[in-house]
This record gives sequence, C-alpha cells and structure tokens, in this order.
Amino acid sequence: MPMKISNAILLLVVCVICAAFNMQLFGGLDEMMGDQYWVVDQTQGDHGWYAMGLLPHVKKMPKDVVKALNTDADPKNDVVIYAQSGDFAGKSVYGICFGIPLIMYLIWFAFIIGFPDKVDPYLLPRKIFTIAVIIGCSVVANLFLMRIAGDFARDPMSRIANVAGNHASLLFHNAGIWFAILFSALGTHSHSFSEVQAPDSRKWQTQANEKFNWMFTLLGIVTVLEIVLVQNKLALPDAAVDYSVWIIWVVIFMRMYGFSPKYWLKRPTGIAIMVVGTLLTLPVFYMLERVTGTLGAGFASPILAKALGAENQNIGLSLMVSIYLVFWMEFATAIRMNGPSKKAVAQKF
Amino acid sequence: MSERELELMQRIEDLERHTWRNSAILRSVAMVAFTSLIGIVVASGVVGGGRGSHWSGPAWNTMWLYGLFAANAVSMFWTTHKE
Repeated sequence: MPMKISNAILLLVVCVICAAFNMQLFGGLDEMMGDQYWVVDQTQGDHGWYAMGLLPHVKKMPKDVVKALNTDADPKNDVVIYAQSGDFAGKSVYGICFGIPLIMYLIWFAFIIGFPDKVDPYLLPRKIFTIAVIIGCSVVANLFLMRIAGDFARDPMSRIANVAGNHASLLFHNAGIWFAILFSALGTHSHSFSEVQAPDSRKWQTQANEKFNWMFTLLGIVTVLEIVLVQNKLALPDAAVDYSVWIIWVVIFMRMYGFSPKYWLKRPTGIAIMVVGTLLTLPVFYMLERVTGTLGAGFASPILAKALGAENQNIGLSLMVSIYLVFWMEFATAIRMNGPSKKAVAQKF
Repeated sequence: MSERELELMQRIEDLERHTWRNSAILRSVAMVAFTSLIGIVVASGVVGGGRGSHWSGPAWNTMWLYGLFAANAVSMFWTTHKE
C-alpha cells in the first residue's frame, strides 16, 4: 500500500526542516570565523589538539598575517590553518550541499525509524540508538580523517577542513548515509536476542546475470553522460565527484526499480516521481539563490560566475541533477510508490 | 511427523538461520572492504597532493561517495525484484 499523501508530505517537510537545521549548524561554524582563518593554537593541548587528537584548539588569525608567516623562507614559524569561512557548510553551492543531509534524513526517518506510518514502538528505542551510533561513528571517523588529511597536507596554505573535503558538511552527512546502510545491512536496528527467521530460498531464481549486464550497460551510459557534461562545462572538471554520484545513482536505480527495462517499464509511477521531483527541485534552488543572494544553486549561478568566471556558472548542474534524482528515487521508495503498477510491492530500503 | 523428522526439520531451520545471519555479516564485510579498497586509492591521492603538485582530484568526501557506491552496489546485488 502506498503511503497516504498527507504522510508523504509530512515526511518531506520533516526531512527538509532537519536538513536545513544541519546546514545552519555548519553555517554557524562558518560565521564564527568571519574574515579570518581558524588556525590551530599549538600552545594549548598536545600540539594544539585534544580529545585523542581529534579536535583542534583553534584561534582566529587575520589572513594576511597567516599568509606572511606561511609563505616566508622559515618553515618553523608556520601555523596550521584549520578552516576559513565557507569550508564547513558550503553556502556558495547550497543546492548541492543541501541534498546530502536531505538524503541522509530521509534514510534515517523513513528507512530506519519507519516514519511516519510504520513506527514500531517496540523497536523504536533500538532504532534511535542505532541512529545515535551512526552519528557517533560519522563524527569520530570524519574528525579522524580530517586530522590525517591535515597532517599529510604539505601545502602550507592548505586548510584542513577543505583538504579533507571541499565542504566539511559533505563529509559528515555522506558518512551518516554510509553508516546507515552498513548498520541496516547488519540488522542492528531490528536486532533481537533470538535470530530472525531465514527467508525461504527454495523457489529463488538467480538474477545475477541481468544485474551484472544492466549495471555495466548503465555504468557505460553514465560514463558517456559524464564526459559530455564535463566537456560542456556542466560538471566539475576533475569528474571524480560528479561521476561517483552518477554511478551511485545507477546502483540505487537498479535496486529501487529492478534490474532491466522489463522491470522499469512496469514502474512508471516511481520513475515519474524521480524525474518530476528533480525537475521541480531545480527551480526551487534557482529561486532561492535569486531571493537570498548568498545560497548558491550550483547552476545558472551568479555566485559561481563571480568566483570562477561566467563560463563556469553551470558547473554544479551535474551534481544537482544526480543528487536530486537519487533523493526523489529514494523518496518514491520511502512512500512505497516504486513498485510495479498493478500491485505495490514494499521494498526493503 | 515422527520425532526423528521433527528433529531434522529443527536442525535444518537452525542451519538456515545461521546461513542467513552469516550472509548478512558477509554483506557488511563486503561494504567495508570495498569502501576501504577505494578509500586507500583516494587517500593516496590526498597524500600525493601538496607542494609542487597541481592535484585537485578526489578529496576525502569523494572517499565517502565511492563508499556509498560500494555499499549501495552490495545492497543492490542482495535485492530481488518480482516482475
């Protein structure tokens, strides 16, 4: 049974509010720095770090002072730059950075908790605990990776929060999704003392061939797509980030809608939700950039045109399209409208 | 069913549960393994950057993205679809 439309709207609104809250949280870190750098205060703690070396003691320092110290001949007086304003939330490409926490909260609420209409009160405590563990794992793993990236960075002007990921919010939210998938596969959120009944596999048929054939076919298609996007300056020039989201889209698409066109043809509703949702999302962020002036959409963007030149103003389009295709695809699954048209089949995750 | 048959059924169900549980564990191991496989390459990219190089390729966020690919791909291969 598909979810009631009021529940679907409720789910969407809750995810949007929570994602916006998280982006404000990271944006708050950006605002704390103002026009200055956050540098590691090496007089405090263990060479400026505390909490097992995960967190830095930071102090603000004017950018020209830091530049003078780090570019002179004496490497001994160099300071370690932690971040500058914009390294955390990524407001200049808000449309892209907003999509990742949006997907993360969708997975947490819809697929783990079962919000809004499939919340199991018996399992709720351990599901909330699972999410708490996901948050803890994401924070610790990313602080650890940021510290490593910072220690290995050899450019004295590099900023740790930026070397570790172009915007730190992407790190924490992507890890939030990754750990959610991992713990779901482990069954942590539904684990009980007695082991679950194994599914009856006696009538199963292998679907491995169509899975492999169509996965490689689709990967080939998105590879060509990505090359075309890069050549037309609609994607980031190094292609690594954009391409990774497209290949994620491929495997999620096959998981949500089936393994070959014969399945896809029977699932027009889910695919329509994915396409129409994306087509409606892009104008929202376009308008958001026009209204606020600071929250960039990533495409047709005066902010990008100013920073990178007019020819690069659409450079985030590939990420915008692929991220919101993934979001609306997962949303269609969350509201149980991705199944074949005659009979709705609830998919797990 | 005789007592002997019941006992055998019990043992088969026990084996099925354990097989299923083991497959779930292997799935998670595959997710972590493939993510670190890709992550090591990305990490060496990050380490290789720095003074004198014009490296602007994958950063740590890309490691998570390829990790998401690995996790989703493993999940995809463990999904079945009815026609």
